[in-house]
This record gives sequence, C-alpha cells and structure tokens, in this order.
Amino acid sequence: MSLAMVAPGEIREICDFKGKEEMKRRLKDLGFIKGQTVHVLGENQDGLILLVKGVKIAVNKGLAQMIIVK
Amino acid sequence: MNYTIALAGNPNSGKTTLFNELTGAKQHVGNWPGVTVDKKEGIYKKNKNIYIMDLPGTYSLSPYSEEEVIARNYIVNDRPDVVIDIVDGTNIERNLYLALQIIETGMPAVIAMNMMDEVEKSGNKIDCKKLSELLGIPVVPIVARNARGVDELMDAAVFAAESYKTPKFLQVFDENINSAIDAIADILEYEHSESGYSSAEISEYSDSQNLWKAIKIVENDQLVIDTLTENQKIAVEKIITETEQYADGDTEAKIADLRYKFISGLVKKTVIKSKTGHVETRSDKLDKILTNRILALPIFAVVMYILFACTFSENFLFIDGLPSPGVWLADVVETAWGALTDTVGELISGASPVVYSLVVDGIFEGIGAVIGFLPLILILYMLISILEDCGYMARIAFVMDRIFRKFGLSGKSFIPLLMGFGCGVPGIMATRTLDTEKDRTITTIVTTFMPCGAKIPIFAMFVSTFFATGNKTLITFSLYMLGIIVAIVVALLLNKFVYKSGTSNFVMELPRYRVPTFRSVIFHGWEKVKGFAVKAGTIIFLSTILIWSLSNFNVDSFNGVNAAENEDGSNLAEMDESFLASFGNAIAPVFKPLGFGEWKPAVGVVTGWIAKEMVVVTFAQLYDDDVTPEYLEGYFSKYDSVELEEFGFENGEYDPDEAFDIYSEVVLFEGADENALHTMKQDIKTDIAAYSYMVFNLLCMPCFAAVGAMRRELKTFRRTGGAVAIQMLTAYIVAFVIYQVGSFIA
Repeated sequence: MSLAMVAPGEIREICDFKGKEEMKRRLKDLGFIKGQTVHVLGENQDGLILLVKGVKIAVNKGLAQMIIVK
Repeated sequence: MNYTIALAGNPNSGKTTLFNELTGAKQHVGNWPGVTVDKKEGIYKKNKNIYIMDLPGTYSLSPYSEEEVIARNYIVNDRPDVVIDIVDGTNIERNLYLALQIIETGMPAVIAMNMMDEVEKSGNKIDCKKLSELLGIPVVPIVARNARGVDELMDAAVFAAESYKTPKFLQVFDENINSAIDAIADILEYEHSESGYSSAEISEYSDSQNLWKAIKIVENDQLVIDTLTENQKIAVEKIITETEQYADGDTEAKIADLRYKFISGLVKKTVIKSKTGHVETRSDKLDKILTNRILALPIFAVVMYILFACTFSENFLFIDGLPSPGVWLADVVETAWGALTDTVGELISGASPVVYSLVVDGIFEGIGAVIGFLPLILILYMLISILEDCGYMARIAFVMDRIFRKFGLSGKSFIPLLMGFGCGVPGIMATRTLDTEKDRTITTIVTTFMPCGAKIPIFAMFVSTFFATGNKTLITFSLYMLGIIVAIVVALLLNKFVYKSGTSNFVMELPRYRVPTFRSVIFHGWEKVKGFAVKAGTIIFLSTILIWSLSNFNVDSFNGVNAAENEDGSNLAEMDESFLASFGNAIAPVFKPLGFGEWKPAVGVVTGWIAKEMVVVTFAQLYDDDVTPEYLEGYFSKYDSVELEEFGFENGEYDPDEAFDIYSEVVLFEGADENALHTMKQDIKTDIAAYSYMVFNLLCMPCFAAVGAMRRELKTFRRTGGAVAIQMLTAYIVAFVIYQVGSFIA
C-alpha cells in the first residue's frame, strides 16, 4: 500500500518508490530508503507529517502516494 | 600560514550559529531550512590568518539543487584547506549521510558534533572518540550556541589543515560497487598520465579527486559524467551497465542504502540512546494544534493579521490614530530626512540652479522616497524573522502548500509573496529557498504583482480624487485582491504553457520549535535593510539621476535658448518641455486603449520605475496648475498649528516654501485631499480610466530596485528581460480588459 493510506500513529517500512528520479534522490538524501521505517505523526487535507530517522518531515499526499510501504 | 576553512552541514544543523561564533559576524540564523543561500566568507576572530567560508546547508553533495551545487563546487573545485562538517547530534543518522560524502571528496575534514547540550538533556550519549576512530577524521563535541568546544574544534581543524591529512577511503560499499569505482578511477587515471602532466603533478590530490569522481560516476552524477571525454564515456558506460545488474537494477539506490547501512553500524557502536522509539515532545504537541486540519488556517490568518498590523497599521490595536511601530518609525525617519534635505538645501543655496536641482530635487528626493519605507521593511523582517526562528514558518509552508499547489506553486512560494506585500526586493531575494528552478522563476515574476508599500500612495491619491463618494476601502481592497488573483492566474498560465509541467511535490524538514533570540531577530531585520539599502540604493541612485536629467533638460538646454530665457540663467527646462515630456508624448498613444493616452500619465508610469510612489510626486509636479501657492495656502489654512506640525511644518507654522513638498508627499500619499489635482481629469477622464491606471501601475514593471533583485535571481539579462516583458504584457492586458469592459458597461 502507499504511505498516503497509512493512518496517523502507525509505523510502516518502506519497500519501494514510484515516480521521478529527481524526487527519489531528494527523498533518499532525507533518509527515505528501502527498509527504512516511517512513523506517520499527523496529517491534514493534503499532507502528512512523518518521522524518519528521528527527523520530522512534511510531505504532500501526492508524494506519499509514491512511497510504497508494508 | 593562511588557511581557508569551509563550514558544511545539513540545513538547521547550526552552521550559521557556528559561523557567527567564529567570525563575530552578525549573520542571521533562522529556524527555516535554507537560511544560507549563498556562501559567506568571514575571518576567524581569534586568528586573522584563517578564513571561514559558510556554505549553504545541504542534505547531500548530489547536484540536484542550487545550494548543493554551490556547496560541492566549493569543496571540490576551490579546495579549502579543511572542511568542518557540522553534525546535529540530536539527529545524527541523517546528518552523517552528508559527512560520508564529504569524506569521499578526500578533503581533510573535521566533524563538529553540535547541540551536545540537547543530546545530554535527552539522556543520550555519543562516543565522539570512537566515532572519530571509525571515520578516520577528528570528531569534536560542541555547543555552537554558547561556544562550548569551539576552541578545541578550531585547534583540530587547524591541525588537520597543517598536516593536510586526507581521510582514508571508508569501506562503505560492497564488492560490486567497489570494483566499479576502481575500474572507473583507473580510466580517469589513464587519461591523466596520457595528458602530459609529470608524475609529481599527478599527486595524491588527483588520486583522491579521481576516486571521488569515480564514485559520482557510479552514482550516475550527470555533472561529473559531462566532464568526461567521448572515449571515457563509452568505457564508463559499460562498467555502469554491468554494475547495475549486480545492484538490483538501481546502483544509485544501492549506494544510498549502503551508506545508510554503514551509518547505522556507526550509530550502533557510538550512540547510547536512553529511550527507544518515539516519545511525544512539546514540538509534536504544538504541531498537533498549528498544523491541525481545521485550526491551522485560522491560526495562520491571525498571525498574518498581527504581522501586518504591527507593520502598516495607522490604527494600531484598534486605537484610532495610534501608529504601529512600523508606521511610527517611518514617520520619524521621513521627518529626519526632510530636515537633512532642508539643511543641505540651505548649505548649497548659493550654488548654480542646476547643481541645486540635481542635489535637492534629484538625489535627496529620490533617496528620500526609498528611505521612508526602510523602517517598514525593518519591522516586517524582524517579525518574519521571529516566525522563521521559532520554526513556525516551515509549518506555514506546509499548511499553505495545499492551497498553492492548486496554482502550480509550492507552499514555500508563500514566503516571497508575503514579503512582496511589504517590498518586492526582499521577496524576490527569498525565492532562492524554493526547490525547483520553475518555482523560483515563476515566483520571482509574480511577487511584484503584490501591492507593495510603495504602491499604496498611488492608490490613496487616485481613490481619494476619483472615488471620493464611493467606498474607498472597497476600491483599495479590490486592488489588493486583483494583485493576488493576477499572480495566481499568471502562475497557472506559466505553469501550463511555459513549463508544461505538473505540480512539483512538497517535502520539507520541520525543525523543532525554539524560542527566537533577541539578537538574531534584531540582526536579521538589520541585515535585510542593509542589504536592501546597498543593493537597491545604487540602482535607485543611478536611475534617479537619469530620470532627473531627462525631466530637467531638453534640446534647448544645450544651445543657449533656455539659458537666455530663464531668469536665473540656468539651462534647465520646464518639465513639460523636457526630454521626458517628449518621451511621454511618443509613448502616450500606446496607452490610449487603456484610457490614459496622454503624455503626463505616461511620464508617471516611467517615473514610477524609480520608486512606485514617485508616480504621485510626478503628478503633483505635472499638474501644477492645481497646486498653485494660493491653492496650497487655502488648503492648509483649514488646519491649526498642531495639525500643521503633524503634516511636517516646522513649529506648526505655515511655510510657503515647504508647502508643495508636504502637499505632494504627505497629503497626496495619504489621499487626504479629495479635490487634489482635479485637472488630471482632463487626461484621465473617467473613473474606469483611473482604475485602469492604478491597475497598470500595480502590475507593470516594478521599480528598478526590484528589477535589480530579479536580475540577481534569474541570473541572465535575457531571462530578466523576459520576466519584465511578461509583467508589462500582463499589466497591459489586464488594464485593457478593465478599461474596455468597464467603459462598455458604464
């Protein structure tokens, strides 16, 4: 499933990425890699607040859709 | 010995704080990712032979954003003597990702393990000695904010520079990738030995350089691959394809994975965490409120209201006539500048009329026009800096992203546009924190559609003269809305037809909330004002002199006709006979379809490019039939001495010599005279035409200072020209539609 569907409070593990190379690179630099756990801290209408490697990162849902988690 | 030390690190890792501590400079420190958008140089305050270079904050050395390219080009090409990598100790895993890449460059490097006080407070422990052994470079614990450990850090850095010890190659990658790196390094090496350099020149330096390049090539780094010769490219291509097969089809991802794995290994050996798992912090609790799906926007609206009230309000705290800190300070400065102008005027009253006019009417007036709103910028930026420092600004970008995404912009575009309400120059400067070139360009173009502080006098004068009986507030408000709507529409159109791209995604670090420091807030405001005054000052100065010359000379100035006619023997021309008038006449027909095809309004548009409020001053000068000494005396006779003093008359006594300036720059700026300049109705015949004129001035090319800022951000004159053309075209089309449709309905 995509990260956009994960409810706040849940912790999931990244297993794949979709979308453009450029965005994948940016995500990679911020610590989003396969096998990394992501804690969804909160959400609003079009965005999520995530905790990755102890850092709070805000993303829009369109981007979260490109991150596949299990 | 002279040494250059570069400071690198993640955004928000405390780089700028350390830079300020080392150099004593008063750089602004924000809690907003991307404060250092350019590199900054300073001198170590304890040793004048050491230069410190503050690089932009980056998450990696891959070349995918402007900051990253600046940082890496500096490290790799300019080769400082040592790189200090500032690592946020509370956030060590993510921060070490950059550290590994800095070590890969083969530059002597030192890690500054920052925020150790917060690490200790959280109960965690970092074994810096062990980490140093594992990484092969010194790791010094520091607290940049109170200078703890900074001397030790500098000792380690200087020692590393003296010994020029390049870090050893860490065993981060697997066999597959290592062999690819070796093979590519060999190809690079071969080319070198063919190139005729002596073996001494192909020293350790080029070895480490080649190794770094090889890693980047395996990572598919286009900037490095582009530097290869055709033969090299072919050889390298084969290796890359082969490596990819053994790296699950994605070498880049594999390399990132291996780096992070290596870092987890390091962290396991060197960091003792007091608690595992995430514990809800105060920041998290605040975020639950401030980014709440229902509360976020109302809270934000209140914050914005307070920001603008403190800066621009004439009725501060809803108390009638109480100026806000911004307005009060602006009044003080304007009064002081006026006094200075008078003093200088008296001092040179014996000089020739040309010199007198140039100095008083040209230079002092022109600069005075700008100085009046410097205090507004100061206050606005101090407040924005509080929002930045405390960490709320990053949340605003996140909250606003939802709305801005609909227009093809990112939530981060909000900050430049917001600043554009105060002044376009710093607004345009702030576009540099945006992620993509597309966002930066579009935001730069639309920022000056905002009704900045200098456009307000134009609205005030026209609204009071033409719409005296109508709802003035509503008319002014409609212009604000129009600016915002046009910005949105132009952004959408540029997105669709110029960039033909979908919306970009939003990803941004949300820093911990912190209490802003007083020092930082003051200095941020001051820095911005200084930067604006210097950059804008030169352009304004030059263009002021240019426009002054055009409006005071004509052909007869140089053949003795004026000199013979003028009582004082000077060669100055009347404004309505000047070069500027001829120019106005030439371009006036262009504005006919907009409802103001006469030379005087056309000249107003041109002088508005010096500074937008100059439109008002120019109108007062050109429609001087309305502002005869008798009219002025009649106008001011309504007021008592206290009110006259408030207008700016010394001791509250009416002074005919002062009356014109006070009338044009106080009365007209505030729109206080409903009968003002009614002869301009001969040129601008209808209310619709007046509205069209305000719209044109709102949207057309901004003042020269803003164009200078645009040139800085857009890099080339060609692109700046293109941006200005878009602005002019937009202004023309919108004013055209408003005038034609409006006249048709009326």
